[in-house]
Amino acid sequence: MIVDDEPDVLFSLTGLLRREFQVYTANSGAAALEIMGEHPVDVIMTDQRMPSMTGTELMSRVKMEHPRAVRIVFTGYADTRAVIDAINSGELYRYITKPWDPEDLIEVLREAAKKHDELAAQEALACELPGLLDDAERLVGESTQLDEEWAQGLRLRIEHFRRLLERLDT
Amino acid sequence: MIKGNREPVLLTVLMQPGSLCWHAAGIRRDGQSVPLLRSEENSMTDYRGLEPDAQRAWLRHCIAGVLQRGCDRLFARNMKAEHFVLIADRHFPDATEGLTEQLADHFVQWMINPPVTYLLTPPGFVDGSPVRWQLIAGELPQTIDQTLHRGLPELVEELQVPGAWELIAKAQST
Repeated sequence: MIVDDEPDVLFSLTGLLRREFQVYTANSGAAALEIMGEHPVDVIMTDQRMPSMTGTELMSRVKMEHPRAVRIVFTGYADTRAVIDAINSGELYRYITKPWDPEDLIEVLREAAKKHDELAAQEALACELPGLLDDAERLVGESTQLDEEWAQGLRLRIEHFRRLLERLDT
Repeated sequence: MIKGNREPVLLTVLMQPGSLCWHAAGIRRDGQSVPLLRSEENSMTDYRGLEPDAQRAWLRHCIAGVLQRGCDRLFARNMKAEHFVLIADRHFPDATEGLTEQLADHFVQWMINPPVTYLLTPPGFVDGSPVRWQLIAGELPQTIDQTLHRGLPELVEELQVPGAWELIAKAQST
């Protein structure tokens, strides 16, 4: 998703990215949120300076409403305090200043998409692994065929994975 | 250093503070010009009346946007900027004293890849041969200097052909 109030920027970015990514465009923060309510968006990239809603204000909303979306702000200003604060509060994945090299931008977006996929995989793992560990623990408890030393080792490994999962939840 | 096999060019922005407009073009190493974009007249007015720091910030924002669009258009032509050259044919009117130098220093310090050079020329950019300019900030390596001397007169002639340039409409103020 690309958000900018200048139509020619949206047009040229769409031309640059459409071969590799499915691209949605919006000319305001409100329009972007509306589209994100209807379509899954992995990565959102917005201009900072826009009328009515700034890029960082939009990203605060996106963080609350679509936390999985990887968030990038771009700006032509070098001294944007709001963007620095947004990075430090963990709301942004990247802050890009104009002018960027189109090849570098594509690489940043590839990395952002990879980051999104990693987060989604991590979330799926955290969701599915507890059930698998429950099943494994039950099998170990019910089986009379297992070597006791081996079964004890497996119980310890299950406990280890449960502690790792607790860390993921935090 | 240019990655890949894109043709290296000078991304040159001609700023005309007299009419508060700009043109952006590529200049090939042989001096051939590649007109890209132009603004409407009075598209650079909004810095007027701002505080000194805000004047610089607004112009930086404006020119960075021009450079961004220029990079995008070059990419579509399988070209790539090896150097940014910002050329103004006079100081900005109604500006705080020293704005040109502050703006030029800011770009040179902020943008290092590719590097930026900021030049000031007589009104109309070219008033004879060889082309004359005043270096405001940045460095002008010999190869870039030669390319600019070869290409600038042709580029300035292209300013008389509006149809050669993609017109960028003025954005609403933000």
